[in-house]
Amino acid sequence: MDQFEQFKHTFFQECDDLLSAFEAQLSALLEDPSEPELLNAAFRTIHSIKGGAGAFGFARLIAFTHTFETVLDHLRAGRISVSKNLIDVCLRAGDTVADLVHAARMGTELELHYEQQAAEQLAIIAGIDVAAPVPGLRAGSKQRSGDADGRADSIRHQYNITFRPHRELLRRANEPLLVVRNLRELGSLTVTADLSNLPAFADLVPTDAYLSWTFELQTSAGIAAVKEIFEFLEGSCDLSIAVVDGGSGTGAPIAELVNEAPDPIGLPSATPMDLTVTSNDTARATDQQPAPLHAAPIARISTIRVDLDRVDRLVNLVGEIAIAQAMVVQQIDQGLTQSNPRLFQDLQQLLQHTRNLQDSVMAIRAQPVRSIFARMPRVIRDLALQTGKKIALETSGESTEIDKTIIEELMDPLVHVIRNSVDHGIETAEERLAKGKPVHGTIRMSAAQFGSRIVIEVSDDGRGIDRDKVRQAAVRKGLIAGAAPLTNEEADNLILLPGLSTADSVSDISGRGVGMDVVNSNLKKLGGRVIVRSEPGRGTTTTLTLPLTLAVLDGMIVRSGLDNYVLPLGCIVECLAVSRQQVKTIPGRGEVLNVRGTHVRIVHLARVFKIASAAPASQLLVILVEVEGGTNIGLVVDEIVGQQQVVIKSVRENVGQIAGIAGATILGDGAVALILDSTAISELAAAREDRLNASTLDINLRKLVA
Amino acid sequence: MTAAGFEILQAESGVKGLDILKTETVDVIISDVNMTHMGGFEFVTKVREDQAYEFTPILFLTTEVSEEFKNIGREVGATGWLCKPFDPVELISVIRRISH
Repeated sequence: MDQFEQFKHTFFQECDDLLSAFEAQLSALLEDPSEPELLNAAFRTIHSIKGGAGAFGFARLIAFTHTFETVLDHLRAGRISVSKNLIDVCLRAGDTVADLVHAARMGTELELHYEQQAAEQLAIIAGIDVAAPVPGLRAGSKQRSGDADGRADSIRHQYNITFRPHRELLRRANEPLLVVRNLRELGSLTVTADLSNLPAFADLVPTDAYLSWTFELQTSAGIAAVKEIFEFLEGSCDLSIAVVDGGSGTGAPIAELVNEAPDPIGLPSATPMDLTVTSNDTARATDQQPAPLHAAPIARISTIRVDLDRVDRLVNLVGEIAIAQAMVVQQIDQGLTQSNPRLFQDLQQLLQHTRNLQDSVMAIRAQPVRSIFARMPRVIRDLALQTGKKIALETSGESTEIDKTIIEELMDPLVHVIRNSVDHGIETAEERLAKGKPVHGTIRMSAAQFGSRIVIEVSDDGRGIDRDKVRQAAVRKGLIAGAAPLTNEEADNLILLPGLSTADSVSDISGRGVGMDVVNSNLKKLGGRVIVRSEPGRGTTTTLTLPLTLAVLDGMIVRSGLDNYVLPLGCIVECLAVSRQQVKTIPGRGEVLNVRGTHVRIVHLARVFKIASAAPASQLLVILVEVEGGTNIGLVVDEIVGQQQVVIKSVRENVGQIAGIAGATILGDGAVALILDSTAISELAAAREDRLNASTLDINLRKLVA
Repeated sequence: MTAAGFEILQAESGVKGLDILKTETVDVIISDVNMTHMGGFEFVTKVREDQAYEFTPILFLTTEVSEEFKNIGREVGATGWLCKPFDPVELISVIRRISH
């Protein structure tokens, strides 16, 4: 499966999930029409499907979801109200969406006007014109395959195809494997390869074709669609295509049978030929599938979706094993190597296995952000085409690995942020020229890990946020009071509120005010946050910050006061032992240390957490740690205990979010150690300097210890 | 084409096409047959001589597809052909069909 197919596959899976939730949302809405979150969720579902359909060019799905979305938008705006009839129509429309998704997944085309009735019903409710085309998109698409000979989808044919490439076929870059791929797209395929012409290895010419194949294809596609696949191969191969009907069980020339084949719904009663045992040189390969009982092809399951709780339980259990094992190791006498070498050896093996097990469990969850970044060029290209703007995309940090759940949840928010940038941020080419900017707008996407947080930034060099307009829109929608005093940052971040849109017209790109709301709510769900920073005329930067939860962490264990803490190794730049005299105090700015010409702010861990430190007065142990934004701080601790891989345990469930703490872990000696969040500690220290005391932290910490 | 997610490099003649191929790497080549400064058949013959493009799919885009044309096309190493005027959707589906 190539990458693009993989993305499509993911999209379909998401559609399944979204649509199954959708029904429940609508039904709940009928019970409780006053609940805005239900309606917002339903709207987002359709909006997300439309977005994905747009990215893959499923024209009919886009058109229909656009109509549907308009109805839901009217509903959200209170222009129409919830009624039983309306919910019924919406539920049926939901079914239609599911059918369109299914057809797109199978690569088949539903009959013409299939969705017409549902669309008309929606239109009647909303009082809109369904005929209005979706901006920027072609209406309808050429059918890829399917009933090329005018037959309905439900009629299935079986084709027996013999394909013998001539020796020189490969030299024209014709690839037999593509034939297999293309045939498989039409339906269920059994492939039998004939290896009898394969010469001895020494005689093999790599650029010559030696293999030939027999295909048994069951599909609803017509003969034209099958022949099309071999279009460029005629003259380069010996080819025969025979259609087999369900009754007679014999192959016959296509021309005679194709128009009069009896309806072969269901299983063909006899398999025409079985080539599996004809000779030792014949190998049956790949893809044999039981013939489906229903006309619709059944999707092959290549992945399983597992309840997140189960994976979490596994991660936790493996973590517990690692911890228990560390404890055992610590208990065992150092002299074990001599006294019981066999036990020592076994223990080493156990350690190795546990480590591998841990890596495997983590590998289930970790994925490079490349998988989502790689989907963006296409999104950008489509958007550029629809808006007529010129946009270039730059990405960096694609190999940054993020937990799979986070990756999945990031796709929608990122698409929305980019759509927003294109629609609202980047100016038209003429406008940019007039402003003296390069004609091409640039969107930069970067991902990086800072300590225990992943930071994804999307910036554009567009016009920035029109704060007055945003503020007016927010007041008009009753989201803020007219007189509310707002800083620039606060005004920028108003765009994260649900239902806010300043767009003058609603397009299928953005402007319905869902985008940034989705971003915000998705990120919050993940324990992350969104920050929007904008410079009028210069562009907007949207920063998505995500915690690195549910992961194993290579950490450095440090002691401050009586307790041990874990610092993520990734954020540590270097460790220094300095004399107290080297630390200078700058009035109003706190303490700084000159590290090879750069001044680094000194933060005493003990002071931040208000714990007694027993550090000797003359020497300070300073750990340079990187914080978000690329600067360093010097964290003062009492002792460096060692390095260890630790299992992150969330403390949020038990005591809520604590500033400065990313999580907790259990060390080898059974003691609990808190995992530090360097960025938050830096912020806490800064707040302390500003004489805002960290009393909440104090209380939370005490709660945690109790 | 761009809308379908392809990046396009254009050349107005066979000679220019070969120049581009010296510096860029492409996944599919689409060539006209009648071009000034090296026609399509010569162009494709030259491209196939380059080891880097030995197995790159090449499509001819032409006004007429006769048996004779197909034979010459196969002879010089073309993967497939399309008849002008063509439907953009068809072009894209053909490219999908022959590309890896």
